[in-house]
Amino acid sequence: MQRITQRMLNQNVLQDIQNRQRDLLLTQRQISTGNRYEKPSEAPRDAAVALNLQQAIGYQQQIRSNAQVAQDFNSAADVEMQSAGGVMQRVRELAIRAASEALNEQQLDGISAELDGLLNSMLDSGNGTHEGRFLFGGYQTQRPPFVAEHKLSISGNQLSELGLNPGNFATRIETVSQNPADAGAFALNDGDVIINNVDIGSFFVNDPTRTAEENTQALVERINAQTADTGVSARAVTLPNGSYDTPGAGPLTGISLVNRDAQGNATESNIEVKGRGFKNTAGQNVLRKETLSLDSVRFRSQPLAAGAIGDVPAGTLQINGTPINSPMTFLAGNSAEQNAQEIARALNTAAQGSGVAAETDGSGQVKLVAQRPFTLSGAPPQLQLPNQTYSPTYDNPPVNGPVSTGGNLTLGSGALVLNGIDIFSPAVTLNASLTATERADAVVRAVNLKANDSGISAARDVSGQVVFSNSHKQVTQVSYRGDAGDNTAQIGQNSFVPLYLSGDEAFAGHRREVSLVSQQDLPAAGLGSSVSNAPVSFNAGDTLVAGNFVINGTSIAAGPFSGNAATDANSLVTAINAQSGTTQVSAQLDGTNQVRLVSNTGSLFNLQTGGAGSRSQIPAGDYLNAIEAGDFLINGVDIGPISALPANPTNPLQARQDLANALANAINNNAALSGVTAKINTDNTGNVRLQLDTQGQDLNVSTNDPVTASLLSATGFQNNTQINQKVNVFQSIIDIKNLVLNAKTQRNAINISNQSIKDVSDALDVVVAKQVELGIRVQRAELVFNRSELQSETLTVQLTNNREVDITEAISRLSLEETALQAAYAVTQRISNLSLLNYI
Amino acid sequence: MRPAFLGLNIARSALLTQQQQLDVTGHNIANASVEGYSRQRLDLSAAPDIYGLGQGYPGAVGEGVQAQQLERLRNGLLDKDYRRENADGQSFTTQADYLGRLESILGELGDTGLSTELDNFFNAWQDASQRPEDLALRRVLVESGVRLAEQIKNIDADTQDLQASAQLELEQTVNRVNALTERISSLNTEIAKRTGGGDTPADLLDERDRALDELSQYAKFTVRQNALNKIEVQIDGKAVVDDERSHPIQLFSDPDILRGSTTTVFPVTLQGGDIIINGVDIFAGTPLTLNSTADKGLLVERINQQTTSTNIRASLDPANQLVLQGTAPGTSYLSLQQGGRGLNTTGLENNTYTLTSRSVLQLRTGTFIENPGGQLAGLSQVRNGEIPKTLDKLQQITHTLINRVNAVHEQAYNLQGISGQPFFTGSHPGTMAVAQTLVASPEVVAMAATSAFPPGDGSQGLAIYGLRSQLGLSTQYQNMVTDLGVRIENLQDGASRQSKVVGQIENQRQSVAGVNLDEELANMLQFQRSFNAAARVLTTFDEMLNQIVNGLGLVGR
Repeated sequence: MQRITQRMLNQNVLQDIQNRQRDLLLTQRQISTGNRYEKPSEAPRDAAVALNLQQAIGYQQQIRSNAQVAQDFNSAADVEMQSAGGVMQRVRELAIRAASEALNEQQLDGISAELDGLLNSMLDSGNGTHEGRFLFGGYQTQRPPFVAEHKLSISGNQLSELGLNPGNFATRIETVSQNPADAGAFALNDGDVIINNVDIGSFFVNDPTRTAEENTQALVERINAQTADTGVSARAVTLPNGSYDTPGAGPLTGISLVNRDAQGNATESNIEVKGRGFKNTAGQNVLRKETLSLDSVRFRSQPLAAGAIGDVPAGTLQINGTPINSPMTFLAGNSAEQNAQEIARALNTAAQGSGVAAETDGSGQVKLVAQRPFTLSGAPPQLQLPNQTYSPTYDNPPVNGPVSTGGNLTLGSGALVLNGIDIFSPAVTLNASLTATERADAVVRAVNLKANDSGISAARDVSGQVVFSNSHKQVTQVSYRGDAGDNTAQIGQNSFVPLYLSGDEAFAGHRREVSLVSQQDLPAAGLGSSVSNAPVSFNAGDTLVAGNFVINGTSIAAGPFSGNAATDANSLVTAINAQSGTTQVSAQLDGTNQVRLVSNTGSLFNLQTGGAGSRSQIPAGDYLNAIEAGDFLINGVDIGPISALPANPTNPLQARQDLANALANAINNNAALSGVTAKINTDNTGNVRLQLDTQGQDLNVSTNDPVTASLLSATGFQNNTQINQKVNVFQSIIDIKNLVLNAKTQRNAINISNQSIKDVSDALDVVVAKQVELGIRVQRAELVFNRSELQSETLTVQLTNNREVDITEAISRLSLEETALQAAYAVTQRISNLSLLNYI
Repeated sequence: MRPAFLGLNIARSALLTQQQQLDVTGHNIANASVEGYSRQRLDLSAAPDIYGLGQGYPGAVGEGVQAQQLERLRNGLLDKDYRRENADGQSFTTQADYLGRLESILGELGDTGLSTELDNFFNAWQDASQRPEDLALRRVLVESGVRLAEQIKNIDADTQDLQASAQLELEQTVNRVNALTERISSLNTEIAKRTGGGDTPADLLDERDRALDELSQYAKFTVRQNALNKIEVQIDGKAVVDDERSHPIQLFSDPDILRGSTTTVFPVTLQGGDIIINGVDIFAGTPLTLNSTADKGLLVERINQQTTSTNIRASLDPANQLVLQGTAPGTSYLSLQQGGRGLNTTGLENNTYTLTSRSVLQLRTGTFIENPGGQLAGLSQVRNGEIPKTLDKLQQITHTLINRVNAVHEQAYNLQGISGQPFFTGSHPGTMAVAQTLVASPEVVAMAATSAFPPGDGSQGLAIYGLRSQLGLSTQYQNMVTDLGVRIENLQDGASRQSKVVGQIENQRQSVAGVNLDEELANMLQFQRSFNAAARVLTTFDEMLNQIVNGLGLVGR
């Protein structure tokens, strides 16, 4: 039997009270925090589940925030595409109206003006933003993805008579710093140099050993780092003696600014330099503060001398042949700047109407600015103003010579097209009696008559050339400066929604069917090098004399033959090859005593036979070389080999048809792969042309084989013909606008072509299709958002069940524990008084 | 012939022993609430008669009563059980306490845990990647990186503090153990002296048992009883008390080392970049040529010249293997990068190591107590096991995070078109931070894939977000925390089980050794009555003698 002691009683009671109190504390904490457990060790298995649930809830939260972002961005894009859709709808209405109704000039102008406005709305949509980012620029979210370009675009079918080069010409403006950068430590502060409102920023190099060239280069690099934003590139040039056009010889301590992007392509940026100025030790600004605009013509004189430099009487200087100056008086005490001011004053007082304004730059140089090209003449040398035509500079000058003379020159519709505007409609005839200057003046008049529509005006220079000036008012093209990158928002384990639509997809993404017809008739020739259709069969003693066997006009002499096919074939080959330097045709043996002729150059060649020559068994006729495997590719698909085709000298039309059939069959046999089909266009005059049709595919025709290349060029297809069948939404509007403008003077000759209307319709399709795509994205994001919300709810309920305490249960437990503790206290009180002491 | 005064003698002996009995009862009552007191009993026996064999007389009685010895009521087996179970319980309790503190430091389950910070960090990358040109989002991202780094740093620092306090408690415990063993050995001396004199030094024995009970908190030991009541105490089979001598234990901290796997190679010329220890390029600018083993000291010397910066000391072991060890007590990190000939030379691998010093108990030189039990075991398990494991895991997570995030970030281009910049600097939890340039200007955060660095390109930011699920760091961390939770739960279960067992044994011990006041009071009454009775016996004898002396011979007076 266990002995019990007072100590045991006390300790046990205490222990019990402690246990009750601990239970009470736990329950109390559970009730006050609402959580069943606070630390993982209190319920490790539940805690592991709770942590997983917590993480899953966090993940769902992130998914929802992503879905929200995706929804926002794509909705914003959707809104832009909706407005773009409205614009295209209206463009289509206008195009159809212009095509179908008889409209007067004013109405057409109204339509073109509205199209201009629509083009601008479309640009606004393309450059739409959300939260300060451009929606359609791919990763390039900080600058507008679509830029309207105002190039000088020259095309036409009589350009050579006009001495013009075809192409797109961008105006080049350049300014060269006047003052050199210093050597030594280099300090450029914020706000010192601001180009096109972009602060070039601060830059310090505390190194006294730096050379002026290094400092110049550093500034150049600093400016070029911002080229994407300024549209201006810099390069180091030699100074002094700088002018706009001729930087002097010397060390590279000056800076030239030009409106070019980082790749050296022209940008449509004016150049505006401002800021506090970056000064050298002499206190001169290294970069001039100035504004150069694309549509003006600038000229800066060389620095003038000071003092009396020789007075100039009124009317001495002429612009475009018109006297323009009041008298100039230069006093002995004049500074160079005062002399420059005197010239500017004299020019500006008398030269109103010449379109040329004069100003000084503060350091003794005169600056002439005009909106159009002008010719200066009569200026005496002391004025430092060379007599010449001043015109905007272009990348490649559009002018290569004066208008041609001699004979009547009729310039008709399509002779010269500037920015899509047909200049000679109606036609202008220049009589044989006109001089080159008079002809040039006539062209200038015609151009200036439509300067409003084309945005291009012209002038004639002293040598009789036509010089163009671009007012940069007409949008010739909209170029895309964004890229294809696209951020995505994760809206599921493996599901991502793109946040934008890249601009060249949204506004130029759809492909359409295009037909490409060869421009020239197919040659009337056999295909495949000429091959004897049987072994040579000369009789013994046969000889080939003049006219018996004639290749490309050269008679081959051979024989006498032996009558043995092998020997004779060999002799014939030797004889043909002896002349191959002249004929450009060589012969080969094919092992069965047949002789094959192959063109060395790949061009068409001709064979005439007669007498013994016909026993060579090679039919006379025109020949093209064979198209071998790998010779002829359409969209990368090998069309060859195309088997040999006999020549048919008696029926050239049939030969053409045969060749066309052979080519078309070969192309159609591969249509499934290349996506390109061919058909033959034959008309009653015997024209046989090949037509390639794309079913919405890009088309690329290429060859590495000179023979096939020559065949292609004979058909009028170019090797490496590449047509990307993308509808450009902007271009379709520009095209329609130009057609509408042209229609003013070409009421009878030209209509709004169905093709252009189809372009507009296709463009509308593009926009609508993208709108649908955006709608689907928004919907997807919305679905994910809602689903994630449901999931979160479920997870939250699970977490609550796992983590949170059942308050009712906890409270009843609490009262139970309370009672137990009270009982323990009561017991303690009772036994503490029990002692034998009280009874003895 | 019965002696005349026999009766008086008997009565006297009774009176004396009853008084003695009352003394013992008084002593018991006085010590009723003294911890570890064992109740005492006076063993009585009847005193035999004074005659030798054969010389007595018929009906001869003994000399009364006599005190045989003072008995100490105690069960040695229960003591043994108590101490064993107590040691185990203390080991569990200590570990549970420390790991509970560690758990609070790691602090998951709230909104502020590290896994939440990790998730926030990665989510910030994703948010920023969606609007990469938004400086506000970039700032949020950088801020979340800073918070994450701080959180990791705090957890690391707190864990190291915890380790330091475990170390401190370990040292104090060792001191207490040494004080106890010394006390036990001196009690041994005292007890032996008294026992030799035929005494029962009950209170000294109690004191020694109390000392042993306390010792059982700290360590698990065995006791061997020797002659003269002296004892020998052994911890882990090694004697800490050997009769009258005690052997103090020492805490010996041995820094962990990193040893090359192959022999250092000679001859070799080591260049800058060949060996980089904790970011310090050992041979930067001054290459070192080692021609033969005779030059091996040069390598060690060169590394040790940088010890103040690296916190790493080098040595070569007898087999010519390079040995690196941390200088600081506690935890030191060793980040080793090697290029060129460095790898061949040292036989060490590029890696980041956590060097945690190990604490062992040493009895004498060369005698180690591997398994002390009790609080000592609990503390050293926490100090050398659980805490370093947590630090290692944290280091692993940090290392992975820094390296993987930086690897992507360094490939990417920032808004200034620059790439190659790290997002995090540092290599371990203590030094991890977001690069200063990023904190100063968030446009330096690199998210573009190409050198054209279009501002809207967030693809690399998304790639870093991809690391979230790829690395699963927060899951790893959570698993660590829940594993720790399971471990604590087990320890707490063990501790409460042990405390019940200990309580039961204690009850049994009390049942044997405890003083029951009622029992003592009853005894007191009994002894008082016995005394009274003996006094009456004495009176009776006295009266009888009185009768003989004064009443006889009066006939005829």
